[in-house]
Amino acid sequence: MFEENEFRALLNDADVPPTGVDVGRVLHAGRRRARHRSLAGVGGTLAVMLAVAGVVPLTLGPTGGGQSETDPTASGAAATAGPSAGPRTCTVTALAMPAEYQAWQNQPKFQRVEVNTADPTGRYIGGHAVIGQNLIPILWTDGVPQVLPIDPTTASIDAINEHGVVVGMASAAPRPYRYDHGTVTKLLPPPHKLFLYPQPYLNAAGDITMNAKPKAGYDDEAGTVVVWWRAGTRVPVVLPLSENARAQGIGDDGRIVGGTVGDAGALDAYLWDPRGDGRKLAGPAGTRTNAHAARGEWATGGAWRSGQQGPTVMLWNLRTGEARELAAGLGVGVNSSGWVVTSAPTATVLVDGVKLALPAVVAGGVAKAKAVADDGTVFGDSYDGDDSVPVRWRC
Amino acid sequence: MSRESDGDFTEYVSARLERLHRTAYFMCGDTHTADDVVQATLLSLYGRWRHARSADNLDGYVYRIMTRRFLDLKRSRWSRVFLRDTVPERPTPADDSVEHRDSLIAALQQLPKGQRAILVLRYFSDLSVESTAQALGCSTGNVKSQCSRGLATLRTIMAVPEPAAARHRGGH
Repeated sequence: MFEENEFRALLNDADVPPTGVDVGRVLHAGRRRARHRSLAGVGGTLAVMLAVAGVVPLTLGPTGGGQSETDPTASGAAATAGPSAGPRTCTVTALAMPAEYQAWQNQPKFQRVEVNTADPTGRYIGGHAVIGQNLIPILWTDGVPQVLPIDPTTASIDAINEHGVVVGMASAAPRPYRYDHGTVTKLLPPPHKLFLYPQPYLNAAGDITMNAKPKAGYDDEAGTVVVWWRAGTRVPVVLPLSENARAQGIGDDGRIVGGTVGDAGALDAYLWDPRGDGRKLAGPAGTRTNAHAARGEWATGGAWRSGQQGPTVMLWNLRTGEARELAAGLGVGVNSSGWVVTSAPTATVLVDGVKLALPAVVAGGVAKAKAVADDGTVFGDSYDGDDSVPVRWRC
Repeated sequence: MSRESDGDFTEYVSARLERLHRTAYFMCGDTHTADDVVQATLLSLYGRWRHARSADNLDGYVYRIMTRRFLDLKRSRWSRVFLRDTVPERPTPADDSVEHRDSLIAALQQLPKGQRAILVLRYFSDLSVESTAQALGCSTGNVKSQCSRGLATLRTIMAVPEPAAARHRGGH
């Protein structure tokens, strides 16, 4: 039976994690915002908390909102040569805001500025301002922010390589683009597969990969092919992969990172070369896996078990073939030392299965990691309940 | 805002916070995004509290703000990755209510956002068809048809047998 009343009962009985929202903090943030708008409304020049130029270094200990703990759900699978571990102290620094920030703050629909990605050297950081439903792309180069002139409506920055080449999705009907030091190129779809999704992935050489399908609609992935734009080109090549193959990333050796999917979701994590030859990344017994990123000898992604809600973070050592489950969540980024960026349930960084203690700018705030460079610098946001401040952590 | 007004706001929100969080969680599928949506909703409400507090249907107004916040969530790299990979396993049919409950959260995430919001507002938040239509900015007929389709999709995803009445109707 599954009628309206049973659906109601299931919703009422569902286990829901507790909220992190605190009414007192909402009140505080609301008052602050009201004061801010009041000042802006009378034409006063508001001294923004974050300097428009230059960074605001804030050195906080790990008690400023970060956490350091071993996830109890980690499986502790056999590990012979994991990445370096050990207690670390991270310091947080707010990134500079672009000159446009002050004007954005006076727009009613302005919400926040966020980091989305960074290149492996940490020299380039990509993010955006959220204004209503639109994103304004921001590229930080050596700490200096610049609003990119990609599209007058909206554009995301989804990946950057160490040469400063940027890729993302632009316009209201989002299409992939490449931005290469001032030159914007729209990436074309293959014939009859006009819908490119979910985002472009980029490697150091400038090669780009995505998935393409004939029909719109989030739920309909029928007829999907994996496409590949050689560096500098705008017409893609369709790779000779099976219809159930999905790209989730691209390594610097040109291999596509991803996996196969079935009706019920992920099946097996794979690395494919552009000729279509694949290497299956074995997961723990009884799991289905998907890979999301690879760097050096490491790859990361997720493993799903029947009856278990949500994935666990996987870390594969491509040299030794070792596969480890680290914690609950999904690995979406990895650096050359095997540090893993996770998304759900929290956006953090795992070093040998241990969460980095990432302090927030404001005590009690929430740190959200989005990318990790090879030198261990982490990029993300410090969310204090009102503002989301783009930051970097040195650990 | 005056101290009295702040007190009213605090009292109103405190009494509903858990309910609002659960609503956002069912829509978003993860607690952090749900917290972001609730936080944005409450901040927006605070900014309009002087007028909102005297609204005839304040709860409906709050759910309307929340629904807009939820639907406005950008499909950024982050959310795209997350949404994509919470595609649940399709469990074997079972009478075990715990299994149903767990798979329900994940199954909801497979529905289109608008349809998911409609189901949550109608069947968890107990909004009327009219209030749900207002929250989504669509017609009442659309709400009814989306409810029907959404429940049917959930049945399929969760491999739950169709109710006898529906089978009967479908046979004509």
